[in-house]
Amino acid sequence: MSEVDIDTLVSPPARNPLPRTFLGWLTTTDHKAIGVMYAVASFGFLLVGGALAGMMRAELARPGEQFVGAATYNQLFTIHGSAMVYLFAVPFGVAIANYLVPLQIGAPDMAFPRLNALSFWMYLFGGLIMLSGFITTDGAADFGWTAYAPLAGRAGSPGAGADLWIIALLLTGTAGTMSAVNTIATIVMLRAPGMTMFRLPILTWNLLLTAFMVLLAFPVLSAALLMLLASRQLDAPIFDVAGGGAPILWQHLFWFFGHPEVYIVALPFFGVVTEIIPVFSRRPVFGYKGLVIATISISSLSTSVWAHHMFVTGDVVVEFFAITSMLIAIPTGVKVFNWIGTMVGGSLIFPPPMLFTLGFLVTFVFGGITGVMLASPALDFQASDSYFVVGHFHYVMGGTVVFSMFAAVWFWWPKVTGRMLEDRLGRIQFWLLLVGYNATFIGMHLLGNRGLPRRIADYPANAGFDDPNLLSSLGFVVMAISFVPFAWAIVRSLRSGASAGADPWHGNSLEWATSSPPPVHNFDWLPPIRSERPVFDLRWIEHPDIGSVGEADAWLGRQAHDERWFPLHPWREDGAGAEPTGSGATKVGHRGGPAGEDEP
Amino acid sequence: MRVEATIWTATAVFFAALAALYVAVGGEAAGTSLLGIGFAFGGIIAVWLWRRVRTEPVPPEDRAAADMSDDAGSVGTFVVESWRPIGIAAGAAVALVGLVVGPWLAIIGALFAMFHLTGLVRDVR
Amino acid sequence: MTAFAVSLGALLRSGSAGVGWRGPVGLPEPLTHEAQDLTHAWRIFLVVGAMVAVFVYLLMAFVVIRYRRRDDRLPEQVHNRIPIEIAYTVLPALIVVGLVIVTVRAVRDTQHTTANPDVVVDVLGSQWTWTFGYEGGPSGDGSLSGVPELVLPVDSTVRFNVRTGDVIHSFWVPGFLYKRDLIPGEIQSFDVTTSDVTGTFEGRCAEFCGLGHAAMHFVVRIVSQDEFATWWEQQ
Repeated sequence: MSEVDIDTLVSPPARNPLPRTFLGWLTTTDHKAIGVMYAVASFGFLLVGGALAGMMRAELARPGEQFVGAATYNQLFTIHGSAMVYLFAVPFGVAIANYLVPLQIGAPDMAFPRLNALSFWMYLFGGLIMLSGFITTDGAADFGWTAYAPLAGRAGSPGAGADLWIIALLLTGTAGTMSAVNTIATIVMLRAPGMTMFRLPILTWNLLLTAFMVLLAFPVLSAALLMLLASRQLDAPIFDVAGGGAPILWQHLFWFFGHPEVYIVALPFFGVVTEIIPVFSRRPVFGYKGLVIATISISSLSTSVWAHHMFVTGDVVVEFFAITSMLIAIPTGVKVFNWIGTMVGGSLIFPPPMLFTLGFLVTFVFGGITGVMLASPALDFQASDSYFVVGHFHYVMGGTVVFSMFAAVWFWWPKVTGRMLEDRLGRIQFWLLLVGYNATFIGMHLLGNRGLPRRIADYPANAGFDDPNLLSSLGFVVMAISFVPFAWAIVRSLRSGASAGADPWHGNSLEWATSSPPPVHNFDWLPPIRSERPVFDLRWIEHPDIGSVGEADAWLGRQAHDERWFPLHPWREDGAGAEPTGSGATKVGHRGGPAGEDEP
Repeated sequence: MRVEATIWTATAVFFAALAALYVAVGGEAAGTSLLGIGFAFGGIIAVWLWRRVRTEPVPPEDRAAADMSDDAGSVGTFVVESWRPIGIAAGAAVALVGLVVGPWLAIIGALFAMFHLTGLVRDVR
Repeated sequence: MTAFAVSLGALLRSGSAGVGWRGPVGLPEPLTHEAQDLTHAWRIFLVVGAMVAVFVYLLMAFVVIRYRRRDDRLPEQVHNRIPIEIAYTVLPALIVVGLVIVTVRAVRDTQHTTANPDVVVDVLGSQWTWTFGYEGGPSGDGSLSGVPELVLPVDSTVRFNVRTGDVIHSFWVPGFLYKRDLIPGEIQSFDVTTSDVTGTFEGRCAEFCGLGHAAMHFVVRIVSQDEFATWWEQQ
């Protein structure tokens, strides 16, 4: 009945396969190296966005303008929102996709490695261009991350920072689109034998559907941005009433992108927690097909709800969008119950990844409930463009992304680096973050209902706005402090972390069947894939209840007869097999038959 | 392949239905055309996948009892390192910034990106 | 979790410290009949939302405590239970249907226009001030203190025709529980019926409109019908 120790089946790589030189990083096309770069860059933008938020909270801690003026404040919230949404939340999902999709489906790399690298560099340059707005004479863009026309036009925002913002989003949007194409092609074309669609890990499913939404939404944003750029640079009257244009068109286009965008941000992180909960519950994910159907419903419905951001414009059919928006609550509720259902009857432990996952559930459920409120025009008439909305989307997008991002970091750090992070520091970080996060954002709902609009540099004293704002600013300080134990954990792990081995958490999906960090083409061998948990099946192969769909006996019998069963399916790299044109350094991934038969 | 094809078909049908519904409740032009585009894009990929389903045998990744050895051999050719991606990205970034700074910079950036794009297509490292 | 529960409690308590927040979760005292209907909708959503939150959080707490790992055995591997899954799909669906009905009703009750409003106000928002013109009567920003003032009589139907002079603004009186965007090139109208509450209340621009957005306030003064007539004459 004992577990098979996966580590005994995996030989660690001779050296860390990530690039060792600076030039190596610039030219790499390895999906793992690109995934790491995506993660590091987006984490950097998270820190930048957080620093901007810190300045805003300093300004808002007390009524009156004391720290920055309105002009600076407007730049701060614009770049804070843009950096968090476009440069942190979406790209961190791309980082997860890049690193994990090939590993989870048993592929040697993404389908288009060079497109992958191109996508990363466009994203990085785009992000830097956006931030470079701060060093222009008029400062960065200052019309909010939604850039409503006509304020974002040349008359409303004459500065070069606005153009740089548009250009930055054109670059990052293109990068996101290319990355989505890559993800879809990889999942459709490069799955290992036996990895049927309904055996994909839920994370991979979610990343596939995210890529769907990106393909639909990002080009619309790019188109809208080109229109905006044309109206700024070439006086195209697209959003100008005097020239026959319509400002409301921007809002339709922007939110047609913007609402799927919310789910583009969230779905990868839903996938992350769906990977983590079963591992630490020792149970299969509860209702796999239900979860897939729920995810498909969410991603399709997400394209039909855009105008719930426009209830107060008086220009949309409010009932249609209210109904479609509220419908999303159903599959979302199903997901939450699937997550809880996975834990019911399980055998739960709570290392940091699981703690952050629970933190995600707490914040997400709260944000989901306020989300249903906002989906109702009756309530949105009051809450729209108020601090209630700010509180809501920080619970949903921020709560989801921040807690779940840290869950992902703590969960996959050992796989990426081969070293463990210290649990104790993770627990300290988690509790600080949970307290700080809720203190920062819970009072905002109250502020909004009392009548505080969003995007204001100042508010009147003694009008009911003072205390919640002060609480929020103090909460931010706690949240900032929570990054210290995290940084310390990283430093200690890189310097002297305990070795992780291939499978530190006793994981389920294929990435735990290869060494930490994985070799250049990911796998030396692959276990047979008979369920959505091939590594789990392998670990418990001697357990009578495991071995999906009654195949345990067959497996065991085969293992007894066939010495070569473990490890059965070798991978190898072969540079000689390919004759690339030009002088491109190329390797071929070979999937072998049973060991020994495939040698040349 | 069949599952993927079904998903994309469902996507196309969903957007067609949604577009019709949106028109019926009095939706405006921008949303209607975007939903229509969703139908068209989903449909293109669905058609391609259904053709594959018809013309090719069931691939090993879609067979529940497949062994790794069923798909033995070369999986694909993967470039290990290349200067072209960062070159194209840098050129594109400079060209776009040129739209603000001045046409001369845009031209330099575009030429740089074209140079590297050529390299990418010709598989020059 | 404790901190969260405390802050959740603080949120759900009405704003007892302040002056005008009679409604739940900091909502202001409703100044119009429409606002009363909307407050009613808010209450229903808050009660349902609180019930869902409490249920889910208690369930989570129970599961996390009850199913801690006690030994190294492998628990039973349950992949699904179709009846339970159907149940927790149907239950949220029923809640959503209920909330949709509440929403549609509230929208229908509040989004109608009357044929003959008692007062018609033309609202012009421009960077970064408000101008209120009364049809057949006074116009201008009506301010004495430098803050634009909107004077309304009690128990009257009021029509607002809102338009903008430049970028998008949003006409928001928190006490109406309602706001309407001012879109360039459009003149939009909505009606409210004031209740019997008198007093001076805040109004704000809710849509970000540039440098002076935070200071784009106005004052809503709701007075008795007699006082309103006197004020009308004076202007």
